[in-house]
Amino acid sequence: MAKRKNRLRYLVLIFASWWVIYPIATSVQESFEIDLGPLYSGRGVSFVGQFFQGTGGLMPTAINYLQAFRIEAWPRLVFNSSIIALSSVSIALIVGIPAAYSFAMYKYRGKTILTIGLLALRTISPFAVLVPFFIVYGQLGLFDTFQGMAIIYLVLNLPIVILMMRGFFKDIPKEIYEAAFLSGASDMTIMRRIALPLVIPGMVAVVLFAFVATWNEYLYALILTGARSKTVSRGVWSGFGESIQGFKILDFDELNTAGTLALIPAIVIVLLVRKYLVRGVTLGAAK
Amino acid sequence: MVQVRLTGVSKKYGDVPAVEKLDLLVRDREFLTILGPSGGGKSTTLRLIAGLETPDEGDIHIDDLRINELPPRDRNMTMVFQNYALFPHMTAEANIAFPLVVKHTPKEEVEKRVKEVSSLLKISHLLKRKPKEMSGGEQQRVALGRAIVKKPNVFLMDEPLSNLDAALRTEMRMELKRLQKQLQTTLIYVTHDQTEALSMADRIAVIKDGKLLQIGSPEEIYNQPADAWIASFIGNPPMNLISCTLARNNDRTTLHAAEDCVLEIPKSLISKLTDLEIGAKLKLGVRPEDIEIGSKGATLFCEAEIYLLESTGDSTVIDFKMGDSIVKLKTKAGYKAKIGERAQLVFTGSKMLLFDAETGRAL
Repeated sequence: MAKRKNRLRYLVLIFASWWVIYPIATSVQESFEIDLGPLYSGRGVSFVGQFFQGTGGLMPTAINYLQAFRIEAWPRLVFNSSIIALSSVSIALIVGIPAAYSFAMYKYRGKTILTIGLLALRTISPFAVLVPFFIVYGQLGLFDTFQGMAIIYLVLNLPIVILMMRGFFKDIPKEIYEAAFLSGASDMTIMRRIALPLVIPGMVAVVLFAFVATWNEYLYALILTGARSKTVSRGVWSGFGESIQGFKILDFDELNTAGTLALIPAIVIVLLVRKYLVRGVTLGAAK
Repeated sequence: MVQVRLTGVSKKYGDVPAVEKLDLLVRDREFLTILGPSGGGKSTTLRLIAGLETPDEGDIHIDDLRINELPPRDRNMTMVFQNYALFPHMTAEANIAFPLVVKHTPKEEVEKRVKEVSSLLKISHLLKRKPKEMSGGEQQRVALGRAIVKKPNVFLMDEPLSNLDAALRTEMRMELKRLQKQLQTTLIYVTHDQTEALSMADRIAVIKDGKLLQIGSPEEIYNQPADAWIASFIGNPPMNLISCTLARNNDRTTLHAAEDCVLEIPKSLISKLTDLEIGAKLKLGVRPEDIEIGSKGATLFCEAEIYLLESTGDSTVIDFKMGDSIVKLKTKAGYKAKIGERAQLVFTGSKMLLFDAETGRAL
């Protein structure tokens, strides 16, 4: 009976893994391929509908990656995304941590409304505000700038930071705060020297969530960035070297190369902070 | 001089009163224990004194200074918590130094004081360890160190020994008492453990349902409880409370406890009963160690059936069934008796107490 149950479990897990891994694997495989069909066929480039149709290829090849780095399109995208994500997450932390601390520690008027407001901010559909943002950003000169993108991503990151950090601060036993209070420490000292060091695992998890969310964000980037501040997520879709006016045939090998490259930073970060991540996610549960 | 005075202090949580119209005076350099059942308002009282809660009514003074609104950090008190509340990310040394560091004490001074305190508490070898690398007892000492390092006016302790095992608790009790005498600092100590209160305190304040029932030395609390509830709360086993009715026959005043148990009231108590009418309901309080077995021609005796025998090692506790109630008797270890036997209970009259059955107040 138990064995059968296990077999069923494995089946489900194998299917789930396949479901997750298959697209990634395909993408990685494609990125190492180059289509040589046109050279062999002798009939020139062939199309099915409007799509380019390959008839044979070469694998593995690094040509797509060499291409990505040679024309310096990829490093540029990574640079843009990194600057935008890092500055947005940093601002979110600087503003959000004190806010979260105050939410966790003090009683004041309007606290509930502010909390609900924060949640509401997360639930508003971006489509509803895209056009207004586009217009306002144009007027303020924030369109296609790093500052503009860092600010717009606060919409994503601030609620994550505030709501999660509030939970972590609340999970610290209240006697610890009280002991610090009675020791003569000021509120600022308690936050800096007692509360913050204790929530570092949680904070790492929060930073990671926020960073990945920003890194992967596509919709705002599509509307609000142009040639100067185009992000990785846009690059993955539109390929390398596209300029705003430019026209380019969709090249699937190139898109897959970009997609594979885009995975790397997230994977590296998760591996680096895995220990903290697990502790951060289970913080409070494992007391 | 540090005197803590609470006058008419009340505190409610929502609609639930935690402390009601409490008056309490803590004398300078005194070891005062606040004793009471769980949820009786002891901890709230302590937190009010610490400033972790603000009273809804009444005033709290340190000497002549009203401190109702003074934030905890300015009260120069320190608190030791049941779970120690050490800062988990700091070493023992950093924990102890914390109260000094946040007050911007010079580095040499901090080092000197930490050294003094750790040798006083015998924890010098633990200084580089973090809380999770220490045993409960060791953490307890570090928490004490953190409390005494800044030389506060008042120590506050909220059941600090409850998480320790029995042997260590007994040891720490005496050590705390010695420490308090050595440091000459006012200490307010909250506990629900009557043994702890009796063995450590200079004075005990009994608080129940947010009200102060009695305050006095451990001997007073033990020998003259102001209230039937205190009588039944203190002592191990606690005082017997035997329901009885008052009767007068010619010039004899007697108490009817059960059908076959009529006690003549000792002369020392008669004067307290002159105002009471015949048939008044009373409770007779006798400590288990003040009852003996046998008949030596004593006037104060009852016959009762042995119901249960409990051996505690150093003594034997015998439960007697008297009417509907159980009367406990404490005698020396190894007492031989059979369950179901009947025996004569002799009361040592001088230590009997009478309580009003309705109000519970001592007569």
